[in-house]
Amino acid sequence: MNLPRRTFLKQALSGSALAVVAGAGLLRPGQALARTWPVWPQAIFHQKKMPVVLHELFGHRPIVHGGLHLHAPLEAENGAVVPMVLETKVPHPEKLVLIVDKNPFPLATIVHLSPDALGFFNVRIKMGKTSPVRAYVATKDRVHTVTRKVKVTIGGCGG
Amino acid sequence: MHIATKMKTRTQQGITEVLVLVNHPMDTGLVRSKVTHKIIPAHFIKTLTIAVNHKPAVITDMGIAISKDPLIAVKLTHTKKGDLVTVDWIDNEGMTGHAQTHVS
Repeated sequence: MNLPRRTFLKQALSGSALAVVAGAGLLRPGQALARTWPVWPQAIFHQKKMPVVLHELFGHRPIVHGGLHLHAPLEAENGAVVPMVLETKVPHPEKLVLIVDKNPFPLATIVHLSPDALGFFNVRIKMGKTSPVRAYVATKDRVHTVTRKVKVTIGGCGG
Repeated sequence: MHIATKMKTRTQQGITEVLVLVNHPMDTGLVRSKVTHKIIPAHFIKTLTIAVNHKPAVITDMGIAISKDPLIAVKLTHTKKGDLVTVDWIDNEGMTGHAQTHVS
């Protein structure tokens, strides 16, 4: 009676020990980066509801229109590669954010800026279909936003 | 698998533009392979850090919506000739990449 139970316990224990080792292995490279900001925010990147994403990112900071430029094509022939340039002159930008409303996961990227970085970011993104693209720049007490509609003629998530 | 990371800087009127190119597949995990008809597992860069003299200047958290072979550009101020600029990234499989250059 006792033996199977004991073996079971042993196996269970060694199993969990393995899980701990695997977890530690996964964490190590991230820590080696010595980041000053929190780890990759999985919950926000997996969030499908836009208002929740915005609340998670900016809390109760007021969102105002204008204050930054988003250079995006009016029409993208290939949704797999849509160039985006984000530019802002607002003083002390802390965070730049790009959101594509109709992508399966709207949040595309969060850029954390140190005081030595200018409010500038150039990147190419994928777009599943025609959608508004929203750019945000967050400062200490408010958030500036601008929206551009980009028409996609060939699907992008396949890229 | 080795993934190439390239970096270039150019300085004009006290502003240093940093260009980074990573030859990364950036698979979304939402696409089915046309050959095997199986879902291609997600494989994408999660975080990319650009640092000047080992001090992070820009940290980018990326989702699956960043295009294959990401090419990004940022602009930095207060850089001096000879400053060490580095880029480090880590993807969702724990792979990492690194490149470095000096401000010219």
